[in-house]
Amino acid sequence: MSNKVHRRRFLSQTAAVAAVWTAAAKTPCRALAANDSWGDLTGRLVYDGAAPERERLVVDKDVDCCGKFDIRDESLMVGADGGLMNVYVYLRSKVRAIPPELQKTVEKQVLLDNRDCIFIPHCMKIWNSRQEFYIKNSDPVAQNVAFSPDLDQPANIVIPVDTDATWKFNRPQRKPVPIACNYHPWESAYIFPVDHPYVAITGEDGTFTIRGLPLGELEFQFWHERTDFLETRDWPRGRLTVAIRAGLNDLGTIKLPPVLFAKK
Amino acid sequence: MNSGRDLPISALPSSRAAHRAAWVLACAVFPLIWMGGLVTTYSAGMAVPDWPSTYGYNLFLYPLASWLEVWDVFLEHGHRLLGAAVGLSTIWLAILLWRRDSRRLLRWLGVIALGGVCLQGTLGGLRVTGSSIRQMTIAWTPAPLFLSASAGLFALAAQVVLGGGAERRSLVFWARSAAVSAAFFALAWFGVDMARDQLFLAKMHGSTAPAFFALAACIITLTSPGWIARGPAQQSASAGRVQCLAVVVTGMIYLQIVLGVNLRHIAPDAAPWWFLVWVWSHLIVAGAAAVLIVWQWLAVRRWAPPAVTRRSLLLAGLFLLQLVLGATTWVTNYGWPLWFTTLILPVQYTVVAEGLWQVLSTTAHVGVGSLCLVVAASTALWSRRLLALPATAAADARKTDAGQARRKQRR
Amino acid sequence: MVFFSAALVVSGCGQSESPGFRINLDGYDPAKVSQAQREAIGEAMEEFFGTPDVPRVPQELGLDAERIAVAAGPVEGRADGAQHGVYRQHCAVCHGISGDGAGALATTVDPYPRDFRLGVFKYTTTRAGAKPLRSDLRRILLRGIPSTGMPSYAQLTDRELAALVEYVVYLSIRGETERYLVQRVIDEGEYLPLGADVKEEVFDEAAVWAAESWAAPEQNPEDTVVVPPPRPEYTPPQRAASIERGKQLYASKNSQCVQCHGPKGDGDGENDLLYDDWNKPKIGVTPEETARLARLYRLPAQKLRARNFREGAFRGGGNPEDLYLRVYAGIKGTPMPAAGPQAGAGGVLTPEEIWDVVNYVLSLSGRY
Repeated sequence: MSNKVHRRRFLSQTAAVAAVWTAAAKTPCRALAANDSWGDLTGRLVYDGAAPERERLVVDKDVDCCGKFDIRDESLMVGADGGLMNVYVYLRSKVRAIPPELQKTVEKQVLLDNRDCIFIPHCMKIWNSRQEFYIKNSDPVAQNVAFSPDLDQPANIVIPVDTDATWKFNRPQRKPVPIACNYHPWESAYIFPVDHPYVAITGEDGTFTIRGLPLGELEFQFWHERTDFLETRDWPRGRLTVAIRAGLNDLGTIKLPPVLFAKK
Repeated sequence: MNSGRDLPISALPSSRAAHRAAWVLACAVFPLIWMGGLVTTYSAGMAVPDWPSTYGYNLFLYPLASWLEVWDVFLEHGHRLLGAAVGLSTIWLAILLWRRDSRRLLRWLGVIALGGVCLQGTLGGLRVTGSSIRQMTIAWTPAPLFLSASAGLFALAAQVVLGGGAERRSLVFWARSAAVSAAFFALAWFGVDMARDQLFLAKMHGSTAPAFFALAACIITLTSPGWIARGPAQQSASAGRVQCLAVVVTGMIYLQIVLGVNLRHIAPDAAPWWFLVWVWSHLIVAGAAAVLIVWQWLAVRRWAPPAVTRRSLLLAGLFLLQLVLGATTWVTNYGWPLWFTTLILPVQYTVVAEGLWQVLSTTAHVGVGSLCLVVAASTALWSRRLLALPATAAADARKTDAGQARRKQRR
Repeated sequence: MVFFSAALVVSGCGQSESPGFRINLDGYDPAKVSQAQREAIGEAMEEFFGTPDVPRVPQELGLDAERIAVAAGPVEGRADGAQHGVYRQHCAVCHGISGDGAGALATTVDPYPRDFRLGVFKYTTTRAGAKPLRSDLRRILLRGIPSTGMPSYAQLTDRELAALVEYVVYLSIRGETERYLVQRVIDEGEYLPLGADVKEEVFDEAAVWAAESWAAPEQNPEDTVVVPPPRPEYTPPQRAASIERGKQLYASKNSQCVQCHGPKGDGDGENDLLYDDWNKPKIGVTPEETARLARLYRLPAQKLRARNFREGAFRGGGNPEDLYLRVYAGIKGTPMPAAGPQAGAGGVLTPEEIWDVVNYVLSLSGRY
């Protein structure tokens, strides 16, 4: 176990040195972090091994239109420098307050495009009370979007060529909801409907940032589609408690062993 | 069932009256089985929650208007009335046999029939009131222990009181008393445990009925003039095999009935594979029994006396009907199986719960099943009576045959 | 006598489990669920909903307790013919005491009996995603489902039918609540024993929520119920034209009907690996995962078959209006999507076009 991991555990338990890490942050601090009544949480997740070969998926439906694309498995995506993509990092603690700026700046829609016979993007989050889910079809073939959030209306929508659809989620979920296309079984995406803005999805470089968190001890959840809750020795049940201080709180680079993500 | 041989050939072993009483009994039992089948098909068993009374009335005094008013009550109360009639005719038959039949076996068969009818009535009654026993044991957990302990202690006390004074001190006496008391304890424990499980009682009730029907039919046969005035047995080298086969067929049919009973009274929350177990064993035994029945007919048809060949043929016919009824019962209860509609004929059918076809086929399957058992048992008896191995060494061969049959039976 | 004692022994097998509600651990490795967790879930569920013999019907849920009392409990008749325990009498052997669709007969029928605990019902008059109306459930009871194990219960009294419908709703709300509670306790590791506040939260977030979603279509039928417009009266040439238009629409890349139902409606489309929402979770990405998942469910995965129109058996009813509803609102819990316009989506077919497709499908089945 690396020294860094030890330090991270120490951090998570005492949260006394969060400020020290702020200095080392790569992500530039913007408006919210400057405000001293809110904190940001950032970090970088790294796949500690060679980037896995992404398996080519069987495209045997609508072959005339979809067959020409090189469609590959998206369930484990690792960036060029080892950054682990598509990990959801989100607040588990009860939301006490949300900064007004966040409420104002949020986009009205979350877009899911059906393009080149896949869903783009692969992972989405949505703030139910402020955003609607917007689905469009850029392919020359009808697409279908189906998902069944827990205790919420299930959806099974046809999106004909050149059309779109919108959807409202009625309640927050406790983890991301898989989206499928009943016409093209290889298509897959995730959406996480919640009632707050405190969800981040790691990007191609493996970094994530959650902005505008209230200060104090907060519990965060890590989730990835291959692992469900991303459980490690330091993150029991995929959870981590961090004492959020004003400004930027950086978890640094966290290396995750490939064995966690092996296909079961 | 292997009784005929031991009879004293001397004069008039039975009375015509007993023979007629046995016929009356069997003729009452057959519709009673159909009615019982209907009660289960309509789940009317619990339509009358008390027993032996009917809604507080004496069984025979329940108002006619209320009886006829509600279908389920009509069935259940009618089943009880008919059951009472069967009980009375059993008593009459037992008395006749005991007083007028000189054969020890027949006299005791009458007693067994009487015991059987009491058992069957009690099973039926407990099946209705069993829930109250269950409630009792839920309310007071040590109830079964208390009841069984009482039975054991009572048995012990009785032995001590009845036992001779000198014997009392002997070790053998105490050991025997303890064993008997323990047996009573276990019996009571088992009885109470059984009575708590209505489903088990229902199964036992359903399994006892055809056995009782077969017993009544056997008594008809054994008291019949033809049986008593037996002519010379037809001799053949294959007699032993035929006799043995007839017993095995009877056993298979009874096993098949028991499997059917278990299919019918499946616990709603039993693990789903249980039903498959019953279905498959019911199908496998059906196939095996069909083969044996055909074999039996082929084995006797050329040479055996008509009393045997006709019965074998009747059994084959009934069994064929029973197979058709079984398939119909499946379709009317669960619809056409998928393999049939996809591979053979794309027929459409919507199951109708308690629809005419469902009720008819299911109940007929129950009724004809018990009739098959009766015919098989009667075939077995007559083939024992009318067939024999060639005279030399016949006695020895018979013994071994009987031994084999018995062993097969146990298996 | 020998046979008879054998009967005794045989009948002793396969005895009933105690008729309690079975905890829903579908999808969870039983070895990883502690006894304390099971007990906590069982206790909370009993506190909310009672037992099969003595159901509790919380007032907040807007359920008819009297009707539920008629359906619940052991089978019993009354002198006046009033039947009690109707659910156990007619339904439990397939749908299970808990409404989990895994009763004793479950594995013998295809499709499996409906598992009410997901809160999803296939054949309804409501829009995609909405809960059914009680009258939808009643219609299924009356008509049965052709070519499945679901019988028609037309012989039951109105009182018994209403009781069964209400009990199914009760079991469904109970099931949705239980799934949510199980997630909270097992996935999220709530502290045990569950505090009153957590229970209250679960009850509000799941039971009350589910009850509201059941109430919604009854209260706002104009928003949720799909009413097929009157089917046009066709002259023979018009009818032929409609069928021809339906054929075109059926084959179009937009409607994607062919994908599952096949070019000629034989139910043999290229998309032949179909699963409904009840079986989908049993299918893993790899065969190994599927094998591993199989142990976590009471019933093995069962494939779904797209309807073969030539057979003419329409599960949700074969009237033109029934087929209109299936095309318009889809079949809930299955890959059959809603083709009609709905809130937020223009839909793929207009009502007139849906009639054309329905006419085409009916012509395939020989019913038109």
